[in-house]
Amino acid sequence: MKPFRYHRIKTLQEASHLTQEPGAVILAGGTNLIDMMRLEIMNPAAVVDIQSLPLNQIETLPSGGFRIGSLVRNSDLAFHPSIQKEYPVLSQAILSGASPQIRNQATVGGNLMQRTRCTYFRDGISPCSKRNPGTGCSAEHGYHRSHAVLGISDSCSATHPSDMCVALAALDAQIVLEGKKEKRTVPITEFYLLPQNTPWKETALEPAEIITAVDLPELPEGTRTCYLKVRDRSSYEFALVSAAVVLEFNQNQIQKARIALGGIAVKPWRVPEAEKLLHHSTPSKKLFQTCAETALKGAKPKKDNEFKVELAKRVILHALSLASKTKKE
Amino acid sequence: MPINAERSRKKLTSLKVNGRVYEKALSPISTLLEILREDLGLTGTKHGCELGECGACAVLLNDVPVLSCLTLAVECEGKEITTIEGLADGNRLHPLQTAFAELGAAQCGYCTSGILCVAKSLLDKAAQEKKSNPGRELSRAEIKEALSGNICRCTGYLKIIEAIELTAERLNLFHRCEPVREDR
Amino acid sequence: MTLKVIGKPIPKVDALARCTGKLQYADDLIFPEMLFCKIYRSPYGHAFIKKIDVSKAEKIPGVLKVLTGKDFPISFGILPVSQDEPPLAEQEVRYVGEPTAAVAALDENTAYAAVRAISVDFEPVKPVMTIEESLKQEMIHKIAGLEFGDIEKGFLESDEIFENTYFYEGNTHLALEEHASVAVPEPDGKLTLYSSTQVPHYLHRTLAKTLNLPPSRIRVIAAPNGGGFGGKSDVFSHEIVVSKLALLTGKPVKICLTREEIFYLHRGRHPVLMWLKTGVKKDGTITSMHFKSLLDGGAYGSYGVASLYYTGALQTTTYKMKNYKFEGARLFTHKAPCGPKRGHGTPQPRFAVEIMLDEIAEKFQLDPAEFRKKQLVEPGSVTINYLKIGSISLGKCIDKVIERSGWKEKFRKLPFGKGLGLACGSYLCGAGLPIYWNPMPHSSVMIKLDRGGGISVYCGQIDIGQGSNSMLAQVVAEVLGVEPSEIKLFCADTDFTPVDLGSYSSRVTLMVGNAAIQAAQRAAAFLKEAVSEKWGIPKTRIELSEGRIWDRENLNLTIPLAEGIQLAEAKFGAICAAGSYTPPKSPGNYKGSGVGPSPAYSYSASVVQVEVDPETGNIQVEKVWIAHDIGKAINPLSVIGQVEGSVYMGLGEALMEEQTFRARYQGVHKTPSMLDYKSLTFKDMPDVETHLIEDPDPNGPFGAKEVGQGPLLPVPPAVANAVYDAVGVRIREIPLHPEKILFALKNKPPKKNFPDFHAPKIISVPLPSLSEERSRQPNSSLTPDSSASKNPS
Repeated sequence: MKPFRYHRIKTLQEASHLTQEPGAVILAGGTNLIDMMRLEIMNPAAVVDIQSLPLNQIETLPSGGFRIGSLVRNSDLAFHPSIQKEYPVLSQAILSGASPQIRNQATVGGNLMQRTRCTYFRDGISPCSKRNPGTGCSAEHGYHRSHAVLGISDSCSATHPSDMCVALAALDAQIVLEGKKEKRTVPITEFYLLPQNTPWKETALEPAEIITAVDLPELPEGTRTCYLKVRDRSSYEFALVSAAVVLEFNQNQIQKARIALGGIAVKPWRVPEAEKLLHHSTPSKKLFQTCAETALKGAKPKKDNEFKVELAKRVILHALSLASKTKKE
Repeated sequence: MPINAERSRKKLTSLKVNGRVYEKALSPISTLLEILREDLGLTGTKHGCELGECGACAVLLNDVPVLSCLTLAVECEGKEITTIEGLADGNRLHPLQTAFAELGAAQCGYCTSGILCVAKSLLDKAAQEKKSNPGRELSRAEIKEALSGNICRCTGYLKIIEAIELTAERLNLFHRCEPVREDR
Repeated sequence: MTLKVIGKPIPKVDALARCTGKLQYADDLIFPEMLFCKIYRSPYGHAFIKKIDVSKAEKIPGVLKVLTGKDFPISFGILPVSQDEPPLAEQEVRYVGEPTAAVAALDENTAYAAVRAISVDFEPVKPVMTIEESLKQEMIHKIAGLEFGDIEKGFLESDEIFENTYFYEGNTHLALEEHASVAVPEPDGKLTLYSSTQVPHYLHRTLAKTLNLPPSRIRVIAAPNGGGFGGKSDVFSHEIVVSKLALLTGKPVKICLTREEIFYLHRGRHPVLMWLKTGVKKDGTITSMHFKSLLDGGAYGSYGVASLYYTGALQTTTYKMKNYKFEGARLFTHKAPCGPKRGHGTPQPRFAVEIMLDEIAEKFQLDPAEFRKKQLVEPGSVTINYLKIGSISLGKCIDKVIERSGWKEKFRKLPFGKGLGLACGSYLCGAGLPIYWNPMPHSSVMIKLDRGGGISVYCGQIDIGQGSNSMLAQVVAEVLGVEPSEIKLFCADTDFTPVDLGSYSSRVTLMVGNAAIQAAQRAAAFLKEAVSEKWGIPKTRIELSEGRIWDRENLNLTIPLAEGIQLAEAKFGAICAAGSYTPPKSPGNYKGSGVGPSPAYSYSASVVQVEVDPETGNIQVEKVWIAHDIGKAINPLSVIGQVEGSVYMGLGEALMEEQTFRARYQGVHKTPSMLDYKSLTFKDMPDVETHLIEDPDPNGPFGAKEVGQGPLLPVPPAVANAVYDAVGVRIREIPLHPEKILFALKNKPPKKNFPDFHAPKIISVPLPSLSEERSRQPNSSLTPDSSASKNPS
């Protein structure tokens, strides 16, 4: 680990001020910062420890829904009674990721800012435009079993590793950003940027901005959800493919559907065209199959990750079937 | 190297480990793991990767299991740290330690410190919950889940699970629903 | 005589040290003024070194010494025939991660900075990454060709010939402890090295050679290993480098490798491409077997010659083989060197054979269990490749797992997606020959009795977590009639303890155990002599038990052990005794016969039940039944622990573990981290039902055989056979990734091609004479009561 200045700050203003410095990073749970610093993939000049900020509350919003402080630990969020009751898909997603110790440390904001597990990115030596802009992508012709098939570009096909964010995407979560003059909220789908030619630019976060909360809109009565994850081992493992499904039901009719995919895309991946097929529909296996096919239409697989396309379709199909059978209590 | 010198300037910090307060000059780049082992001589906490991938370095921070390799020591000021050295009460071993020895749950013993810390927190939490919910009992699934971030390469995990169940049974937190296994 | 300590499931003697964090592993050792070492490692799979510039590194404040290849003119290797590794590469690097320069600095961060400041001018060459390419370029390390009997005749006698190709991917040990060593210069100019090693004796020899010092000036202490599995049974560059740095700087020097470095250190399971042809009669009798193996050895020799021969050696110890031919080659590639991992060279051929047996049974509609049982090797027999079998209870092992798993009701009868598979295995209890050929004992134990009653035991063996300390204490305690907790152990210190060759090849229980029995009996003889004289009764009436000495015929006549020791010390002087063990000579005497012989063979059978999700290709192992022929369990608690650990590792190899490299990027490891290299977690581990089958072996201490490695062998093929039973796809390679299952379900099972390979020279070995068969010894030659120990006089 290379030396850095350490600031433990007490106010948002302080944090915002310090993060404007070039090379400054924010420390919250640290579970995906300390490892990157040990590997010397990230070598910040300053580490701004924001753990003393009062951002660890889970509150109801006046408009319905919940506001989750960005410093709420992953475990606390997953086991929060209201979250378990209102957004089971979020609890399931969080608990399917990482390990209990890491979830005890990791925060909501940190999870949103998680970096990819692409081995070329992490090895510190391979050409990688995300790490060293302009050097190209080693996965392009390399070993890409864990890489994305959706949203990829020639310069990057690294997957977004989070499970929590897949659920948040399906819940239409809003990311609350503060620090600049205007406090602003950004829908999670817009928070993440496509790699295109600039894979090092991962989020819409601007200098001096800090994630202070995540807003969850209220789900209508009768909404049914499911998080389904396929992985190589049963814990401590990233998704090969995962799907978060949120189905708003009226009687036995799906009113609205939201599907987000993980493990196969460069960011938590929504599939609006596939979702549209389900709006105002009666659930059926055939419909779900068509929906799954549509969701993967844009997939660009390569040799090692080709299997994930079919796998993803099956996961979507399963997740939809499971969700439509699970009545919200 | 004036920049590095400035950046790595040490700061006097007090750390409370196993109930004892240590005053140490800490460099911000030191992880809790490094400080425990190298500065405080508490080498019972082990490391298998130092990247948060094996669970060997788990300790309790305010009674919650965390990975000491992913925690900066400077973050821990004002918090209670418990390591394997703090499990025994003086000469009295923690019941988990006795059960692990009895059932052969530690083979090489390298993952054991982290696993014991995590298991202790699991049992403490269950005991706490039992106060308000007398029917509270641990399940094997809960034990597996709690330890699902701790890798052990020797035991195949089974004896560890049994040792935790035995301890929980002794603390009235677990009831064996199956008879003792045929092969025992 | 009833056994008091042997056979009891007691906690290990060092269990509390391991459960309190008090046991000190190598990286836990801290010395005043200690320096830290870091190693510069090659970023290329294959390159020539044009120039190394360390001047910048040397100028960094806090850097005390920088070493390069020219500081180490002498190369090394674990086998005398493969002295091919330079401690630091000087002219050429052959794998990513090869040590090229080393730094000693005041702290770890400075050492890191210095390593980064080293600049090496490399001329990279395209690395050779596959078995096929290596064969084409003739990068052959060793070729073996052996024929026993006449396979062609055997094939003619058969009703059907089966032929297939199998592939066992490489994988690594992933012991949780990261390798660490501390070298300490002593005031008298000598050197002490503490290291996480399974082989302190071989390390001692290698240091003497590479540092060009007499062995008497070097002391090696093996620190308790935080897991080994074979990964610490080679000698490593960093052990030599820190020793040299300590000698040159006059300060203690420590190194602890990072997890990534350990993935490159490797010496793990060889990837092996195999071709197997078996001739079978309709009733299932095997008439002939022809086996070929191609081992991807990586960049250096390591144990490779032995690994190669092991792939051909133990096919004969389970099922009767009339004609057998083995052709194989170990090939060099530009990858981390492979070596011994749990089962050393035998899980791969076992995988091929046990799957093929499943295929044969299916073809002839035979029950896989009955079919195997009909042709088991006889106890006391000599196999066609001259391996002397002692006890074998594989039949009982099969019966047990068949009965307990409900095999008869379930096999080929479960619904689609669920299945059962059976496989067997066999392993040695210690290699019959040492690594360097010599006539000295393989293991020795010394015992010193204190007049206060204390019993000190000295032995070169090292406990790597398998429980060998307890085994040693239990054996001595049994003979001297005390509790194991009374024994003080001093182990694995080349200055203090007599040689034991190391914790590899499952040799410790059998060899150290036998040496310990002899030492303890000799110590007991002093006491018996002195006490019998005092009491005026024959020595045969004296018994040692419960910490006392008794007259067997008059139990009122008894004294505490300490008093007996005092009598003996008064009569003989200080009471010290030593015992040693040398394995029996193997009947084989052909080139290559050095690999395979062992004083005894363990056996295991396993049934695995799986559920395969045809949608995702995911395999869920639901339960494993395993029976292990242990001879006699010295400590059933430890033995069951070893069985469960072996099952765990076997499942990992079958389902997910793989050590693979990027061919396009200079041979960089694909998954050099504990998250990316997948191993089973708590939630992946199925329930395991273990049964120990006891059938004492004539050569085992109290009849005991090995358990650390053998139980891994049946697991991978049993999983593959279960997958076939579940979803009808026969996958002849591991690991069984979900995409392989999906692909096989949709298309055809993946199939590897076996290159056109023939050993240029085949040694035709004459059949063992029949007279050597059925010479099974009575089963207690080394148990205390019947052994003719040499009494002191």
